[in-house]
Amino acid sequence: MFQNKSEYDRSVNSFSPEGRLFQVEYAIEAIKLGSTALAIQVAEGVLLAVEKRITSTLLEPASIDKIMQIDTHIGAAMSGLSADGRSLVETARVETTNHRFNYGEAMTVETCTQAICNVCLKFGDSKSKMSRPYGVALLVAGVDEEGPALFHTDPSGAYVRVQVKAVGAASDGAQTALNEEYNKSMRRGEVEDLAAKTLKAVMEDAVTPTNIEFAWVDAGTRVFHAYTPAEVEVILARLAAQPAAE
Amino acid sequence: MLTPAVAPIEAKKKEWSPYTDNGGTTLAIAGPDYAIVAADTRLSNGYSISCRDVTKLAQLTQHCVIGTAGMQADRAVFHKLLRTRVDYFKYKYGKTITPTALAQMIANILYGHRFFPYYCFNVVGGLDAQGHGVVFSYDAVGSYQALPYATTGSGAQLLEPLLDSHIAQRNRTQKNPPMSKDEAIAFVKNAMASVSERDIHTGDFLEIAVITREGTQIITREADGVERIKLGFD
Amino acid sequence: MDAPITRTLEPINTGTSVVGITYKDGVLIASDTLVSYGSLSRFRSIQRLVSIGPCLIGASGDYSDFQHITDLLTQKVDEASFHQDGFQYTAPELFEYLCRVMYERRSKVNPYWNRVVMAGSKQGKPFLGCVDLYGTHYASPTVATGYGEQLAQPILRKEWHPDMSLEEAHALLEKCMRVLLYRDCYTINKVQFARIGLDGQTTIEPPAPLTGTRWEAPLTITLP
Repeated sequence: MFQNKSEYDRSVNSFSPEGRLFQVEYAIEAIKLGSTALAIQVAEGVLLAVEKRITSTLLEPASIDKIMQIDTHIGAAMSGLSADGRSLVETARVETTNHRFNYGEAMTVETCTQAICNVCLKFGDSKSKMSRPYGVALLVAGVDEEGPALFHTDPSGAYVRVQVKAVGAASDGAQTALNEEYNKSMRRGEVEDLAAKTLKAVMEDAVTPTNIEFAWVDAGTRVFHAYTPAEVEVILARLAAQPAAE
Repeated sequence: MLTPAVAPIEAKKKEWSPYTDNGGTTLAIAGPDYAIVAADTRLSNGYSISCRDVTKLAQLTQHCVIGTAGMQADRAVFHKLLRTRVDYFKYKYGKTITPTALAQMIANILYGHRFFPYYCFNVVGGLDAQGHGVVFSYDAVGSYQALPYATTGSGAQLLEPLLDSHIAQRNRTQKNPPMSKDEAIAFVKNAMASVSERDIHTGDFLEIAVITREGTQIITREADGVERIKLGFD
Repeated sequence: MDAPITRTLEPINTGTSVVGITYKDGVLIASDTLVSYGSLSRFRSIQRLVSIGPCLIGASGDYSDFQHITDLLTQKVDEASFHQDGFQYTAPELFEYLCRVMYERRSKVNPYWNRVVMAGSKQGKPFLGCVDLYGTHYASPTVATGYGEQLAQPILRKEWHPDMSLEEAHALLEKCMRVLLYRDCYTINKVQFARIGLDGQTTIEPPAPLTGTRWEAPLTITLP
């Protein structure tokens, strides 16, 4: 079709002769430019933690939202183009609300993730509003009747269930650190410490209560809770008090 | 004043009504570890009995049964619709719909037809996540409520006080413990037989769906090889 | 300008009762050959029993609606045979389709003003169903429409049994037609029988007058 192989990346819905969709792959690349986000699922619940890049002292940190609530029992952390993330979270909110209207019960985390991924695929055709893939990865965390659950979605619309996941600029380093220390019987405090420690290790700036964001979905209450800067400060203080690693 | 020479032409001929009531009575009871949904099988057409053997029950999931009185044609379509919605739920969400979720869905469907309602008066019985019996009762436009027992249809007025007395037992000085499954089945047979004595639209055969953890057993269907429960006399 | 919406607000040319029963080897149905125009006996030799593919249908109610239903079902059956893949609808399948058609029209508040009886076979057993203008439907070994529901159905229910011979079935329906001839004033003494065997073979008998009716003054006869 095209004379030159490099031309195949111009269309969002044409496969290259090697069977690749370049625009989707580029979208996945875009996530690696985003600030780091990580999620840890244990028996007690699921923790979401993100780095916020405060590019200027004149920027109001609270106006950057990288963790968003979807329903009372589900939240999502994002990395990549946060405008795309907001848009996906919005559709997820509509889906979970509709589910409550239709069936009088909460949507499961997996179905919610699936609803997000359905939207991820709707690009490129003339009917859809989106003309390109969504350049964002989401970590969808929640608790449903089956217990805590954590899913990772990417721009291809694929989703996988994970225990721990790091996405964004420092995902490789963060993922290695998490894999090393994670075990599924960790308590909430330990999970918080692990997340804070990992962010601290991979972030360029020093961690402060305003440049990181935490959220927890509790397995017992099934309620999503976004941490206030004061609550984050407690975690950071605890971290500072711990003896430095070997 | 002049009187008109010709009587004014009648404004409009009475329109044909797309509704008909085929009668019948449904009954549902929520027990501690069971639920029962029962209905007669008579199909009435005015004072005639069109057919003695038309079911009013539909088993929607392993643990949920709906019973519908009212118009038979609407019921057939409504049950068909519910069956497809239950199947679709399973495809979409990867799990069987719970009776509680189904109850809300039914209300939405009925209300969706608010301005051309299904002439269906439903009771839904099933087991919740804890294995306790649940019963929901509806009007034709989707008003619904969870209740310990419910009855709809042509014999509901006769049945309701009997259920109040035997199940709710609000005005009894000496209260009996909740009925066991077998006691409830016996009670349902007696209660429906009583209704068929006085309501001409109720009778012929009785079908009882008994829902327990193990699943749903429908008593009286010939296919099960169980003897049919005959209401009243030949 | 658009033409005004027209619909059947009342039936015009009407047929009266159709009765039917299953017997050992199939289904037998009967009706008279009268189509009335109000209380006028307008068309006295109209066949109201029709064979369509795997089934036999008959109807009371508006005759033009019945003709239209006949066309619909014939189309359905023909369409299936045009494919030449050996597929053909069974009577219960066609009955389900007819029920949907009747219900669809009632839902448009524009019904086919009929009560249709359909006969055929289902998995080697006789099938006899009935659907009305509301879409109300049921299958039953004895079926009667119109006045037949009041006058013939009780007789049928009392005397029908599953292993009736054709002769017994014929005699039973004749008896019903006689009762209807006596009491239903929209009947005529020219009746037609039609049957469909379990093999799908249909036989529509030529119309004939009912025999055995008695019209002497009541005081002069002694009923058996």
